[in-house]
Amino acid sequence: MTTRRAIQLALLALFIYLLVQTKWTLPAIFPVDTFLKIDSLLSLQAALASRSWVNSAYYGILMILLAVFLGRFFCSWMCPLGTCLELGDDLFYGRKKKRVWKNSDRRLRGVKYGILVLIVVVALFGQNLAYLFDPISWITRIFTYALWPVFTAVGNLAVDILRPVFEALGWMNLARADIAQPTFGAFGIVSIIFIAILLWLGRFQRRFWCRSLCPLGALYAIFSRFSLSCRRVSDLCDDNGRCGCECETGAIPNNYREYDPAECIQCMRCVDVCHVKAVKFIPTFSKQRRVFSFDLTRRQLVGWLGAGALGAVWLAYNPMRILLSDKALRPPGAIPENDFLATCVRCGQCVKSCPTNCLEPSFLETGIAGLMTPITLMRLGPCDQNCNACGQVCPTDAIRPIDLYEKTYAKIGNAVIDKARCIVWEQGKICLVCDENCPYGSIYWEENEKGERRPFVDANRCNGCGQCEHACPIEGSSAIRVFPAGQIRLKEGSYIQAARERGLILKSKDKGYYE
Amino acid sequence: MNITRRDLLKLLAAGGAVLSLPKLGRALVALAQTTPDLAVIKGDNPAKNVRAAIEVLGGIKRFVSKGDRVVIKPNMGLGNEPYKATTTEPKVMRALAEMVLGAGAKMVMVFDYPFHNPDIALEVCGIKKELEGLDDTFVYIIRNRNLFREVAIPNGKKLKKQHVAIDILEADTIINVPIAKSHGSAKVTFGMKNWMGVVENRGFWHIIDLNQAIADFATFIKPKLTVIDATRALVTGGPGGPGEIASLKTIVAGVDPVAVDSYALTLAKWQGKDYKPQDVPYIMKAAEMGVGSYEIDKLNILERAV
Repeated sequence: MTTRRAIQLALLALFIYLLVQTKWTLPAIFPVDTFLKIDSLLSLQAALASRSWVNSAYYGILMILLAVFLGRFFCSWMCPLGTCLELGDDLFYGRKKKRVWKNSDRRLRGVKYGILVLIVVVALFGQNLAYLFDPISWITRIFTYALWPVFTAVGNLAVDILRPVFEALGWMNLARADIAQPTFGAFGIVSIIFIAILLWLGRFQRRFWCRSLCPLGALYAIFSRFSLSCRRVSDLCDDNGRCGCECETGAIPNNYREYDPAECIQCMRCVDVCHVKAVKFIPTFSKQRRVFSFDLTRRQLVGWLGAGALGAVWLAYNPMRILLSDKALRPPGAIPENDFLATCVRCGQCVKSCPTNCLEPSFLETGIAGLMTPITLMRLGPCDQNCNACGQVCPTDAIRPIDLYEKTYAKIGNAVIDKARCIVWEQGKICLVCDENCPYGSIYWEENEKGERRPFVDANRCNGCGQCEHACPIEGSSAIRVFPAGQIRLKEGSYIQAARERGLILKSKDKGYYE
Repeated sequence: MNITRRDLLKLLAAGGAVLSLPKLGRALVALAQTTPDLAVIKGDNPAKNVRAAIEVLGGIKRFVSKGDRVVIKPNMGLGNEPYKATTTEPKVMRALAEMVLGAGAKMVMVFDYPFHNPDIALEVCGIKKELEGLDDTFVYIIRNRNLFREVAIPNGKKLKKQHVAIDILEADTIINVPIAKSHGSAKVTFGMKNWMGVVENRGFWHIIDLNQAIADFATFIKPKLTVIDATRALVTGGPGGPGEIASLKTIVAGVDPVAVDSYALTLAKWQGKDYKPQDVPYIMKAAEMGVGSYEIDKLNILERAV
């Protein structure tokens, strides 16, 4: 195993570890969204589309500076999706010893620049398409939506099977272990299909995605054209050609002494395979021996620009949203909707972090522009008053990192009782489970002449946390449901102040209320 | 009166036994005379209160034998810190667990099926942290359906079958440690209502008839001891809070679940009212079904401050 492969695997392991740690409560030492924060494309998208500074852009700019010095090293050393695709290529197709520099590649490899142009144009219009093509977003979604629920299910199954063994050994902690089992709608399957397609494309070329489609790679490629880390071939070269055959991205042309620094991902494979040790990477900004073969033509550029503008207009129109907006409950701290759609990179970290599984990637609930954005489905789980993990893990601050006290005031919506379905109102039964669960004391009851205690909601005390909607004991959808009406969405400023200005009394976390 | 030879021999043997073990005999007599039905202990230290209460009732060995699997069922149903008075005071749990272990129990199992998010409730309510470091003590939540088993409730009027936590069904000794709270629909929640945390799908109880279901289940479950934690009592706004908290600093303990609940009614004005057992339907229904007695005037109650 080469050093690079070892580092790749170590970083993939770190990525998975951080994703597993993306939960309530978060580890104190290391930010779990590190890989998403250093993704320059995501911070570029968030900053351009919301026309404001995002904190992750510090990391994004740092990575671009590194690309100026080290080329596209991110792709071959750090990118978790790149590592997975490389492992997949090795596993399914092996290393084919054939020439990979083809002029027919030219049109295909330009596509990644086209996608980057598309994303930037759409972002300039204030819309968002980066999430659909960004590799780190995708790999996070794949692990969260497709693999994590499988892992928890297998883990719980193993506990179920081994329980008699654990009990016999007296290991009660293991015998009663229980990992919360999340469900993420259909996006697990969507993510699996996506990575399956990428792996299948590997049969045509190694790292097909990285060569031809990845917009993050394209972004780093632009800055690595004159990178300091430059490939040089000495006179020892005997034109054996192995470097050209084995290049991960086909960046070496028929003259093996040259290379395309925009395509080169600094994997150093050419150094390793050269049997006369003629290949070196030296620090120089010199333009010698660099060839650029895979640019967009002017015609292609105009085409992508036009597609971007049209797409942005279509996304801004977002016709589905009006029909279905009752379900568009956003997590507390989510910035105003238009900025939210522009800034949210749909990585799914918030969804992974949610301990109650109330956050779900939306399909068309918030319109086509809201695809895969987090919505809260309170019937699956409430937004618990002890947790603010989603805001802490959001890499672009589409959900603001507010503390637990302020979260109390970040109103999600209002609970509304469906009296026709409520078993107290309609059937005279004894219930008030909504009142039992409400952490804010927003549900009160009044006794009627028959002594039935019927629930009412005081909207000024309702946070919209959905404990009531989750707990309502009737079958099917709840008789008390949270609607977005009354939600507070702020891009900046204090939720506490905003809530008090509206006359809201939200005191779940207010210790003074109790003592 | 005819005394047969056999009777005489028996009498002599019994007399001999009593004479040869005078200390034990006196102790037995004393126990029969003075063990109260209910122990009500007030004091600033919740752990001392609960220790005193158990002592008054005859010591923990009366309830726990060596090698027992003991379930101590608290209320840890909500993700609220102890000061919010919605979950059992952790220090009470610690004192009880230490006593039970001291009596030679094989293991102490502390669990609930919280109605707030279980993972969060387990961490936030503080019981797990307080019981850390005790040997053979396990604090956990039950949510996995494989940890429940369906059983018949033979005396149930409306609740005929119920999925109950296996750990409850297989326990040698069950100790119920609820917190005293007011309750929106049931008026108050003390001991008997705490059992909603050991059944799957408790929402069904609301749909059939909450009061009857609580009484039905009380005929099935046989706790050897009920310890009501009224260190802080949520007298209004219960069971979820926020509400008015009365610092009662009291522990009520007893064997008869109906009597314990009935006495706890006298501790405070719940929901601003002086409830009598007759006002709380599930207490009356349970009494009618023979679970215990609500007539606390007729009981031997020992009230003490420590």
